[in-house]
Amino acid sequence: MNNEGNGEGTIVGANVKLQGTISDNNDIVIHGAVDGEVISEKNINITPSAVVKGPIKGMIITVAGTVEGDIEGTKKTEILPTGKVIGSINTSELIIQSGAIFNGECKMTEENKTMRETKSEPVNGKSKEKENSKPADKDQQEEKKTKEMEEATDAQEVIDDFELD
Amino acid sequence: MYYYIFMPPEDRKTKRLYEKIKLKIGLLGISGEMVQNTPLRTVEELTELGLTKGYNTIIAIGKDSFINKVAHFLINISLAQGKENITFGAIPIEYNESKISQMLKINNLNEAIENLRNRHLKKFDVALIEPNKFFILPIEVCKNKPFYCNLSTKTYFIKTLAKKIKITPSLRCKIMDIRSIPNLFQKATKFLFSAPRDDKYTSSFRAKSFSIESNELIPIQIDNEILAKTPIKLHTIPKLLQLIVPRDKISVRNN
Repeated sequence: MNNEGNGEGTIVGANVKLQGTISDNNDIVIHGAVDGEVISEKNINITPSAVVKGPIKGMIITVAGTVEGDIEGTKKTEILPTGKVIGSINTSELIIQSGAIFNGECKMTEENKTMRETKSEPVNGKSKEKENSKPADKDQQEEKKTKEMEEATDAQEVIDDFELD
Repeated sequence: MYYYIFMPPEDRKTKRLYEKIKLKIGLLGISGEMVQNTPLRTVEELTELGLTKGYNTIIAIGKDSFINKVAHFLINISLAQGKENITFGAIPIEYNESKISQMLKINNLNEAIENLRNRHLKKFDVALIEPNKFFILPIEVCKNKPFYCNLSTKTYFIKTLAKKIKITPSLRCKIMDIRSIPNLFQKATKFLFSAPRDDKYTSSFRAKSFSIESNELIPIQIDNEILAKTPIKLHTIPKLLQLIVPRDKISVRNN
């Protein structure tokens, strides 16, 4: 109907030059050149033809193109054989495939790991302590993220829209 | 009571179709005042007349561009007169490539009139081209040859070569490069390839407002009718127009 919410995200075409901050609640796919920040609550895919100069924040980030900037993949970051990253990576799961280039620092967060441990193991003193100490930081981080997303405007709501064939 | 505005008929076939529509409307008990756009009575005048007479439901009958034009004047006049709860309905006269029939999910005349009788209402997003052009159907920014254009939103700026730009009333924008539109050969040999073409030349994004500029005047059109020319500024106004839509169909499973 005018509009059945299809959750279509942002796609930057191969012949496009974009300057500024792209933020989307849905997936972002970049084929072209971006000079600025890329933020998504879901997946970000940097294809082989893409060149990104700026920080990238997302849940699952896949890099097959060139990135000059810091990457923050809350769940997973993967650099494919054609990928090139110059900058630091902050993620909880990192895959660098053979042939990929990565120049920078990497910081692995243990959030997911800790959660997995607490789920699978019976109540553990250490993990409890960790849990107790983290919520405040977590809340702050989440608040910061939501604020950033709101500020970046043009954040997407689930809307009814035409399908553009 | 409904106020029906008919597009001027282009041929005998359309005249006969109008007779059929009038008959069906009468049979279903949803008849009202019927007026036709003529060179002496413009769409704007007819729409204003309908609202002044106190009609709350305006129905446009015609092609996509005509339906959009009625919607545009309806929004403009109702906003100027401070009238709320104005309802809009449409009976398209073409169903194959009509955007309005896609939007209303109707495939033929019977469904369109049945839809009016059921009067199921839903609010839709409307887009505004500054200063006062509204549209409720997707628009196209295109020319016979590719053009350079700049699109800027609040947070970013895009520079690209485009063949066609499609924009919905919710301001979802699709920029198509010449390489993303299949040529005749590609269309003809499409059946040979099972996987769809890797279309990396099409861009797609959504914003609440943005502007389009180009180094030449590019027409912005609906159904081949020009609404405006670049440069333009667009805004989306969520849930502005109340439209008569079909009831949700309940499918029954036979186990």
